[in-house]
Amino acid sequence: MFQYFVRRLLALVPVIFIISVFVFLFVHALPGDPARVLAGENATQADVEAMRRALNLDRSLPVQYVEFVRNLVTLDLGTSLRTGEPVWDMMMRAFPATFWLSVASLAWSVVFGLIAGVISARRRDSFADHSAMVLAVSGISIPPFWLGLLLMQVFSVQLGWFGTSGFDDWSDLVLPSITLGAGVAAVMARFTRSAMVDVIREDYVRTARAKGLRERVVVWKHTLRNALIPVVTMAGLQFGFLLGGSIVIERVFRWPGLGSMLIEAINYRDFVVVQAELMLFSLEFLLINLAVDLLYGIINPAIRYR
Amino acid sequence: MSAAEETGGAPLLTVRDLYVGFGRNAEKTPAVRGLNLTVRSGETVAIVGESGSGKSVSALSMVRLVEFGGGRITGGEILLRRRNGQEVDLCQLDEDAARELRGDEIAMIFQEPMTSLNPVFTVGDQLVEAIVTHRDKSRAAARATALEMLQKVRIPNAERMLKRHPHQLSGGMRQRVMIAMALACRPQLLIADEPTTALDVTIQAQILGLVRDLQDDEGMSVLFITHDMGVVAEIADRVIVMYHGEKVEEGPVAEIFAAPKHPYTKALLAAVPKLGAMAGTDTPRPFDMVRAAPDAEGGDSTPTDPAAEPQTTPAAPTPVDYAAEPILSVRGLTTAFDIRGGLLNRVNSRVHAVEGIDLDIWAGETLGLVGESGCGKSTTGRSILRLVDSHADQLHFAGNDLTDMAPSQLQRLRRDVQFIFQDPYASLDPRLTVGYSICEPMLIHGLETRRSASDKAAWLLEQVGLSPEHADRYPHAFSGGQRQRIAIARALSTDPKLVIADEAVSALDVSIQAQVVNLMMELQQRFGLAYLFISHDMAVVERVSHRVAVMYLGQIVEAGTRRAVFENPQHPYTRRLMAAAPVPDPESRNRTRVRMTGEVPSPVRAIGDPPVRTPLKPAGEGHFIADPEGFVIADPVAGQSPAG
Repeated sequence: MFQYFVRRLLALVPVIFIISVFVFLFVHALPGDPARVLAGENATQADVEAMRRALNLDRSLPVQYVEFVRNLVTLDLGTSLRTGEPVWDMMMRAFPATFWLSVASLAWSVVFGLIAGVISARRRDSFADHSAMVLAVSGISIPPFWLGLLLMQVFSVQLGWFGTSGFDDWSDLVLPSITLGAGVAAVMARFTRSAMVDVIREDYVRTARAKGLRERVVVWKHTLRNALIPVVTMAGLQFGFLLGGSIVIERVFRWPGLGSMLIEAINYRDFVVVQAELMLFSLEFLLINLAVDLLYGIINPAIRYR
Repeated sequence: MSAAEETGGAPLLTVRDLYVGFGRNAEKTPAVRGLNLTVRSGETVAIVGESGSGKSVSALSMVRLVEFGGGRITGGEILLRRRNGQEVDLCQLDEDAARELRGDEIAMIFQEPMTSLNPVFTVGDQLVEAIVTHRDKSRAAARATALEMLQKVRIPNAERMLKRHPHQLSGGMRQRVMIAMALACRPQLLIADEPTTALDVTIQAQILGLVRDLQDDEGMSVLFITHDMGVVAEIADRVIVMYHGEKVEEGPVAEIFAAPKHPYTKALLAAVPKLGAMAGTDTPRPFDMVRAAPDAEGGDSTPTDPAAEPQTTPAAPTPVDYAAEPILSVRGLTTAFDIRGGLLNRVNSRVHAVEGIDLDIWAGETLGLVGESGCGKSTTGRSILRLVDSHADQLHFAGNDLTDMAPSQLQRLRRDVQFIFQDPYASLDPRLTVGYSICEPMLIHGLETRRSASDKAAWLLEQVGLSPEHADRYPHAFSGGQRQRIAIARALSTDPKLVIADEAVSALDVSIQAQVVNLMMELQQRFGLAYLFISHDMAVVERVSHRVAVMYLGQIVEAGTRRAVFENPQHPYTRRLMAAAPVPDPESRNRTRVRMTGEVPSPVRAIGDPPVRTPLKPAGEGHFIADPEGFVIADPVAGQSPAG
């Protein structure tokens, strides 16, 4: 298991390398010239050129790329073009808000999705099943930003239960995390349901019943644990959805996190920040999915690591 | 020993007029119709029948598990005399009350030991769970009982076994664990639903012996569900024959075998291959077909193939010309699969599936290749066609040297050698018409145009006893036996010289098996086919083969004419296989049985530790054996590969 872990970590290196190429090319393909934006509206052509040189933007792309990678390796993320603040500091400041938002969203959506999925599978074609699945389809179909605005309108503006923006209090987490997790919960519910429906037909579930176990034990212990593999896989992939969603949702709720920071950086052509953030998002996604792979072995010891 | 019906224990379980159905038509088309049976205490009753006869459904009904599979008991009663003397009707119990009886007073074991244990929990946890569900015991006390049970089912090193997960155990070991689990609460009745069907013969013999011994110790009753008359003869006191949801015959085991009354029972017994039945003959012989009776009550419902009995009188087999060159000649066929591991994912061990074997097959003959699961017999078949990465020192086919296997040679070989696989349900694409499936090989090899291919497909369907109109249908419209006929038609479409039949009849009911075997022999006569007949079933191999090779751990340990090998087995492994095969004759049950122990060791070996090759030496005319020195049967637990 440990060997497997180390090998998987090492295998991340080439993946990160490929991602860095994409991030770099993507950022440099963005329309708009950072030098011109930074030099200001009244700058002369000469000022812009000078700014370009100062930013090393006059060099060829490969040279710039090598520079980019060298800085990444030394964890030197550079300074923001807009504020002059080190990007690392900016990210550390924004990180907790986004971290708590993701954790809260993922936690409720996984728990809720699992429970809904198990109940649906257990009572297939019942009223509970059909309503849970209608809810799930709605959760997948509703655009998150619209759900966010709707929740805000009802619970913040009309009922006044929650604030409308910012992260000053833990209660501020409620609406954004519901918004962000809704899609994930829906997908989890559907996946759990279908995995449970498959597993409940397995021979060992019949054995569990033949032992005289209570149906509760048969379902929640013998069946669910085996059904978790596809569910956990999906949870890992949904995390990417969460990261993407958080960018929009943070905007809607004026959340002081990485997403808001990214949008601002894009608006100002602050490519140094954009690059750093994209790398961070990618890395998070990779690590979460590595964690998922390791979870497999804990859930089902028959899965061998090679 | 088999006198329970005379000694007559009190009735333990009485089933009266039981009806069970499925889904919306539960009442209209029941799967079990008016079943009556009694199991007395201490008695072993066997229910025999073919797939779809309702035997498993009946068994599941008796523990009220049938509901979980969508079934419903629509009539009748199932009376159980409880330990406390009370009599309950299982049909009337609610789920909670039924649950309390399950695993406590009635326990059940199933056919598939590989999938019947939960993969995510340890053996110990699953055993303890069974005990604490019904007994007011601490976990420690339950664990002690679990350990005792494992020892009782003769699992060596039981202490260690408690901490293992099912995937670390062989099929035989898992079935022992299942039995231990079933007996943990000392049930009055054990229902065993085909418990040995998925196991190798030597393991089957061990499990049957175990069930018998445990029954003697515990004084419990056993209801044994099986399709295998050999197993029935080994274990049953009384036999109930089911056919199409109904009981057609019932009687003491000796009577059923000696004087079957119902035509179906007769047909069933006639179709059972008997080891030793071919003594004194040199060539294969088709099964004698007894027409399975259309129901005595004039039933419209013959579940067997409509085209079941091609009414042919088997012609006298044409002798094989052994003076000619063999059609296939392989030397030093070797296949090993790498196992990777470690930090750098390097190859650290190998599965030596096939280890330098030599084969010759002549035109028009059947070479039987027997051995237990994991011995490499299937891999051998695949290796010949390079369906797996393998090596041969020399390979001659139909007079050509194909050792190098240039792509064009390989293509040619794959046209002239065709496969029939075990599972008739999985080996036909459900989304293609059977006509297309039969045509496809001809089109791939460019042998026919689309039109001429479908003409030939129609002709082939006739050859295998189906009708040309069947070409437009999809596989789901056919029974298992019919599908295997289709698979045979497909194999014959390229006019092959050699057909590799990999357990081709193993998944079929005996009566269907007999038909398919006869068909294969008939086609051999007609087209001069050579067969490599790969099977674990000694009796079937004896029936069909001209020559036989016995395979063990990737090597051939004994080979020769069928007669030499079966009438004078020399290698200890061959003898072991033959001793383990159940004999469908209750009279021979009292013969002193060799108690089988141990399991076949693993073919996985570390790099740099290749297996020793034991060359075959002559042991008589047309008879060769490998040096039996060093032949080992492993300690069943030490033989397992450790967790990865």
